[in-house]
Amino acid sequence: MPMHFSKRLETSKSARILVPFISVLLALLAGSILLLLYGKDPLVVFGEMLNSAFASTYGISETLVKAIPLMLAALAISLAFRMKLWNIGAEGQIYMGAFGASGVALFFGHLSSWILLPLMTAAGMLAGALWAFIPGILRARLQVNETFTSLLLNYVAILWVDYLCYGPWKDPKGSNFPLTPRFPDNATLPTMGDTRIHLGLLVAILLAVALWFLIRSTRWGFEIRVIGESWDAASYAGMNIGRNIVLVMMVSGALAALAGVSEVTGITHRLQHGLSPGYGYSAIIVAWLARLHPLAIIPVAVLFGGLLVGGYSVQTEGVPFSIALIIQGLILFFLLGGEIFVTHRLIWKRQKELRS
Amino acid sequence: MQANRKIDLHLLPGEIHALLGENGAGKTTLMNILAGMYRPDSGEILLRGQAVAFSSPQDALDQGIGMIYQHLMLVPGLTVAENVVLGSLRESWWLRRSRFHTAVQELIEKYGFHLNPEQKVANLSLGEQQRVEILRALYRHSDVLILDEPTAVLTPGEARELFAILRLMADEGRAVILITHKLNEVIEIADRVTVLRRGQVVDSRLMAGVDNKTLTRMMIGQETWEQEDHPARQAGSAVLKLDDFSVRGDRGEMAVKRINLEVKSGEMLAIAGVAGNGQNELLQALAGLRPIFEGQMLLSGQPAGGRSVRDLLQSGVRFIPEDRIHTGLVGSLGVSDNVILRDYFQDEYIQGMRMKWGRIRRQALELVEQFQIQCSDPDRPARLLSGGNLQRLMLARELQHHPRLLLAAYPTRGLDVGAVDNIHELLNLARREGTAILTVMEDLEEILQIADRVTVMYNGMLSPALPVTDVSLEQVGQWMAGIGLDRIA
Repeated sequence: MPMHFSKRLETSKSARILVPFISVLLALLAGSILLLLYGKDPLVVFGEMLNSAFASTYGISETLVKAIPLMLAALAISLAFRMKLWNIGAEGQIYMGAFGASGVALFFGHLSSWILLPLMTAAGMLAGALWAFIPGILRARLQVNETFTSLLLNYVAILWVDYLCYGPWKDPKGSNFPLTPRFPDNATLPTMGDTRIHLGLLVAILLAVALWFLIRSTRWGFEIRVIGESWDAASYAGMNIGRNIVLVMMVSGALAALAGVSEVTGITHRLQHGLSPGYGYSAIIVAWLARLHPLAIIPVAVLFGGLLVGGYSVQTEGVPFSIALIIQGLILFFLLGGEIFVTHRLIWKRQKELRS
Repeated sequence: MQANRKIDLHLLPGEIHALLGENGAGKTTLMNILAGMYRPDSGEILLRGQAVAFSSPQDALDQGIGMIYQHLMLVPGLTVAENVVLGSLRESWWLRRSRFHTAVQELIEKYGFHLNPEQKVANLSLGEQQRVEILRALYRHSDVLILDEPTAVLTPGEARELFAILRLMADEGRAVILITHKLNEVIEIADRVTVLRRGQVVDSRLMAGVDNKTLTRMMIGQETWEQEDHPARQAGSAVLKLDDFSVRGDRGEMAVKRINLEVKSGEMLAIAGVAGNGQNELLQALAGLRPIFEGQMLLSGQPAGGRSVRDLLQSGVRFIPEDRIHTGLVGSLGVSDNVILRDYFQDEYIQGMRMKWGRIRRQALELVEQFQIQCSDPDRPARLLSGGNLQRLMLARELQHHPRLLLAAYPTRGLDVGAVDNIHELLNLARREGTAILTVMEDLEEILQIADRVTVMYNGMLSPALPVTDVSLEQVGQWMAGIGLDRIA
């Protein structure tokens, strides 16, 4: 081989910024090949996606609607990933958050919205935090790999919500659809004008700023950074690693649960089967593409929201929605592959030198 | 840094050749060159009279050099036989399971290894796993076997079995290199010993007539020591006192056995001895990083056993661990971050919810200046600093608050002469200011140059602590080999 990688002493700043952009471009390029094979003109399809997602008020508002849960879940994930705690359970935590909020709405719907909404939020976040507590405590106490436990609990959470929607909480007047009765109006979030954009957007942006401050400027943020780099150094510094694992996992779960809360209070106004089309998984890619930076998560989530909206819209052209998911996957693929350029330098070598 | 300098080593068929030296003496580097991991900058390797150059570990293996690393390199999920043939299946695309199973079975029987070729490696003891590694070398017809500290992971019984196997290998005409720092092993098994010190061969001789004392002398280097003039120091009151102090190691073994020790203010007590005899466990327990099994720890007369890392730190116990880049410092974080690594929770660095990064950065710059750390920007990652600068950074952090007690594990290991002198100066300064220093060092010469008293640790036991002006080489050598310590303990 005429080339090899050599480790960089210091990670490359330009590569850190360039790799995400190039990954998106390469993903679109690879997606084009698929579209060509499918017999569609990629430029037309991408043009239509872009158009539907960003060119009209309605498009932008729908893009933002999709971006809200992505932002919240990606923020949740970024906090855990900072500590190298692989919380893959955002999807389940979203469902548990929706479950907690819905329970309050269904049984305490008579309360005024000033009490009801905070109560729903608290119940949802608590449910998400407790759901994430399980992989957290297992990791802290028994060294059980949190990647698997958090992932597998997703299926449990989804099935639990399904059980409620098909069973005890099913709307008797819902013509047998798997959904609960509609929440009373005082259990719904205010929206912006005629759009479906709800208060969750503001919450997500404020949270991004808060997390950025937390990581950068607080004592707990420092602990999270040190524990993420080295457990040995963290114990040497007198930090309580086990407690922080549980705590970070629970906060992460609570933040992801907020995405579920905002979906039921802002969009669906009820708990239903298939509440999240995989926001918790897409959010992993969002967080990664934003390099775990809370502020960068905002625009990246908007981009991914647009990708979803675009994916839905090109269905009318006979292109399956999966194209949006394929592009998401390709972005992650190129992003992870491109990581080597951040830590390594590519060196071309002539055959002759190599042999000596 | 030069890890190896102009090394001449002659290895004969049929001999077990011990390579002895302290940690960092260059043993492992040398063997990695032989095993094809690194390439020498100059010099030649002759194999059966032919000059050879290895392009890779695979290449070295092909040419008959088998390396058995301290950390075994086996695939736990594969069987014994599969692990043995791993890496030598290149000639065929098909996995001829029955064929290699028979071949491995034959080898096992021939050498009486008591292994089942069908068994998964994950289910084997460490001693058995090591035998699988040896089998692998035999399967590849290696006639040079290199073992890097093979007994470190073995029980005494397993070690004896290993030695019997090594003798068998040698009797068949193979050459065996045993890298070790255990004197007893050298005496028990080696035919010839080569001693490395600071990257150079200091001596190489047949084992006939060589005993513990001779080996110690070879390791230490000089017959007589130049005694430095120690200014008469007024040692103050006892800062640290241990009574019947015991600590368990990672595997549950008793790593520190009922030791007694006292360090006074303004005094440096150095623990000498071969690495791995309980020194690290002792320091970790004193710093609060490892539970105390039994016994008492008094800090200026107050019981301090069982207190947390942070609690001890607040009482002025500071610690320099052996591993700089992953424990003592966080290499990927900035120099400023590392300056507050252990003090980040103190009020002076926090205002409300915020860390005072401006203040922290200024303090980092001050320390960089005061301790002459070569660092252009305190925001850049610490791992970009050289070894000496990393050590100074760690010392700067631990010494800046004028600690009561400093625990220092190998503070000068791997540093060049200039950096060593500089670290000595810093330690001396702290001592003059009344800090009690308990340090673990390997180099006896260095200990005599800088410490006030010296004690030897062997197998978790401590010798009496003597002023460095009163110790004899003979005595230290005996203690390092464990002679006379059982009686005391």
